[in-house]
Amino acid sequence: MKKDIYNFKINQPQPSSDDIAKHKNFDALLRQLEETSAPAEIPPALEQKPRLMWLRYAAAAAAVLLLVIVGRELLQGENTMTEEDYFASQPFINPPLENLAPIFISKTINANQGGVYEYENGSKLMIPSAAFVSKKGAIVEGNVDIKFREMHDYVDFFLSGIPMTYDSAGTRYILESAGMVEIYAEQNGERLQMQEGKEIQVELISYVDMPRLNVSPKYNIYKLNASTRNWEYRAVDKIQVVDNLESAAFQNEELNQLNASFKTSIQKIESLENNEIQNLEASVPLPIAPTPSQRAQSDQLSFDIDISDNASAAVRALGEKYNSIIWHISPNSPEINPNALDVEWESMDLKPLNESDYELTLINGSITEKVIVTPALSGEDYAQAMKTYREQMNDYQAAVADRESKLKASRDAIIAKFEAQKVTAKKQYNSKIEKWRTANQDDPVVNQMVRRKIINRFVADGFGVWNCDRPIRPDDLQIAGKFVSDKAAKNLNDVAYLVNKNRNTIVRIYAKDGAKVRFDQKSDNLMWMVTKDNQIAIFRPESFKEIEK
Amino acid sequence: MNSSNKTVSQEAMQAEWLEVQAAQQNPAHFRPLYDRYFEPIFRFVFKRCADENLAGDICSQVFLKAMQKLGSYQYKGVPFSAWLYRIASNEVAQHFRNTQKNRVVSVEDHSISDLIDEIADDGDFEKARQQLLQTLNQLKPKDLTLIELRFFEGRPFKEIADILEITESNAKVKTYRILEKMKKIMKI
Repeated sequence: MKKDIYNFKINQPQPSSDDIAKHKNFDALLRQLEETSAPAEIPPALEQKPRLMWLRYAAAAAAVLLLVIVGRELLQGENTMTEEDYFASQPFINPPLENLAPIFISKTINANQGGVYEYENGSKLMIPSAAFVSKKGAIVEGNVDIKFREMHDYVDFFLSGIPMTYDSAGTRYILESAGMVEIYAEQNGERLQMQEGKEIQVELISYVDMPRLNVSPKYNIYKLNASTRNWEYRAVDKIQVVDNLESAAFQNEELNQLNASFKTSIQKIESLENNEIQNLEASVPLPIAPTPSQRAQSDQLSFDIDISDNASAAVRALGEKYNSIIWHISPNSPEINPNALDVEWESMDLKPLNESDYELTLINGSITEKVIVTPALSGEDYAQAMKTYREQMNDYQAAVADRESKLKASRDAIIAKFEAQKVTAKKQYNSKIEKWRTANQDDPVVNQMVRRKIINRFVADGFGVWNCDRPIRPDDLQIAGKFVSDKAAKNLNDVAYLVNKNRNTIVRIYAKDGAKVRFDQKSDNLMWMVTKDNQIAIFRPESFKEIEK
Repeated sequence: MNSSNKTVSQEAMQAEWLEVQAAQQNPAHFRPLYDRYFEPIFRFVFKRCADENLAGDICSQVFLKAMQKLGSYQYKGVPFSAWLYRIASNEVAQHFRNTQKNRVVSVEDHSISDLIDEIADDGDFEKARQQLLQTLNQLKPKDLTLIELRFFEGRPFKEIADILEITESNAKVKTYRILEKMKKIMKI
C-alpha cells in the first residue's frame, strides 16, 4: 500500500475569532523584530509614492503638455544653447525626483567567503571570495553590505536619472534595454572597490518582446562611465530564454493542444531513444566488479570452520587457498540467538549467497541456527588476496573501458538520430505556432506568446551601472516643437522625456523653442515633463498620432 | 478591506500600498496590516497543521519574516495579502520538513462534495468519495495546494494566481489538468 504523504483531517473544528485573538501580540512581535540579528531592509527615509500610480494619477490632474509644431527648421529664439551643451552642463546622472529613485536592496555577505545571492524576482549575483578592497587598496574581510537595484522599464529609467542614449562614431543612439542593474558595496558606510581580477557574475531576470518567437533576441552589455559621460560596450549579453512556448499554458485551447501534442511527440521520441540505448547496453554485458577481501578483526565475533569435502566447490576452493580463513558475522546477518553460543553443534552447512556473504547453517538434530558470515583473512593470505584483487580490478577496469569504447560509437549514433527527430518535431511545432499567430494576430494571446522571460548573463568587473541593451538609431520622423502647457506656462521645465512604449526606450529632450523631437510614427509614444512645481505635464500617445508628416 | 475569498479592488490595493510604505519607514506602522491579516493567516496556517498553539507559533514567524523582509516588498498590482500567504505557505512547509511529519490537509464534507461534482459523473458519487482521499494522497504538493486553495478554501482563481505567482489563466489550466489526472487515477 502506498505510504500516506498527507494527514487528512475531515471536518476539523476551527478555532473561534476569540481563540485566535489570544495569539495576537503586536508589541511582542515588534520587540522580537528589534532583537533579531537580521536588520530589516528599509529603503531611503524619504517618503516614496508608488511610482506608476503617481505618474498615472498625477497626470490626470496635471497640465497637458502641448507640443506646438513650428516646422522642420529650428526656430531661432533668444536661447542659443544647444541640447548637447545643456546636458553637458547638468549632472550626468540626474534623477528628476529624488524621493522616487528605484531603491537598492541590501544584503550582508561575508567578504571572505563570497557566495550566491538571489533576489526576489530570481536575479542572482555570484560573488567570489575576497573580492573587495578598501580605498587604500587593502583586501576587505568580514561583513560587507552589497547594494543592488534593478531597473526594467522606462519608468525605472526615468526615475533613476541615468541617460539611456549612447554616443558612437558621431551618432547618438537610443538604448533599447532588456534590463539595467546598479551594484556597489559598503563596509561601515565606506564605499568599497572590486579587487583587480575579480568579477561578479550576474544573472538578471527580465522580460522582453520576441516578435520572432523562437529566435532569441540579441543584446549587448554596456557599463556606464560617469567620467566620460557615456556607455562603454563590454560584451555580448548571454541570453537564455526561460519560458519556452511549448511549456506555456495559454488562454487558448488550440494552442494548448498544440503544446500537448508536441510534448507527447517528444516523450515518444525519448522513450524510443531510451529503449534503443538500453537494448544496446544489454547486448554487451557489464563486467562484474571484483570484491576486496576482508581483513580479519580480532574484536569481531567469528567462526573458525573446518571445511569438509561435502562443502560446495566455491567454499572448498576458498579453504584450500587460504589457511588463515575465518568467518566474521556479516552486517547483513540476522541477530544471533545468544543461546546458540552454548550449543554444541553437530554439523554445519556453508553456502555462498553473493560475492561477499555466505549462509552458515548450524545443525544439532532438529535445531538449526542460520547466520550470515563473510570470510576474513590475515597475514600472508590477506596480502595475497589483495594482490589478486588489485589485478582483478585492473582487468575489470580494462573490461569496462573496452565495453565503453565498443558502445560509444553506437550510443552516439542513437543519440544523434533521435536528436535529429526532436529537431524536426520542434521545427514542425514552430511552424504550426507561427501559422496560428499569423491567423490570429489580433488575439490577446499573441502578446503572451511574444512577451518572454529571459536570463541576461554577464560578468561585472567593477561596481556601477550595467545595462543589457541594443542601440537603435533615432527615429525617422523629426519635428521641431515648442513646449507649452494648458496651465501656467511658467511652470514648465527645461527637460522633457520622450518614450517609445513599444520599444521601452526613453530619451531626454532639451525643451527649448525649436527642440528636435524624433519619434517612430508606428509606435505608441508618450512624452512628459516634470514641472517646476513637481507636477507632470503629459503629451499623450493619441496626440502623437495626430501629428502629420 | 476583504482579505480572502474575494478579489481586491485596485483602489484598495493602492491605499494599502501606502500603509505598507509607512510601515517600511517605521515598523510600528505595520500594526494595521497585522490586525487586518492576523486572523486570515492564522486560519490558513491552522488548516495546514490542525494545532492551535502550533498555528500561533507559525503565524508569529510569518509576521516576523514579513516585517524583516518588508523593505524589499514592492507593489506590483497584486494584493499584499498574497505576499503574506506565500510566506505562510513557506513557513508551514519548512515546519513539516524540520519535523519530518506529514503535512495536514483540512477538508470539510461540503468541499469533498464540490470536488467530486467536478470530477465524477452522475451515479459514481459514492465510489468517488471513497477513492478521493487516496487519490489526493497521490498528488504532488504543488498540485494538492491548488486543489486545496480552490476547492477546500473556496478562493477565486485570481487570488490563487496572486498567491502562487502565476497568471490567472495558468491557475485555471493547471487546475483543470489536475482534475483530469485525478479522474484517470480514480478511473471515473
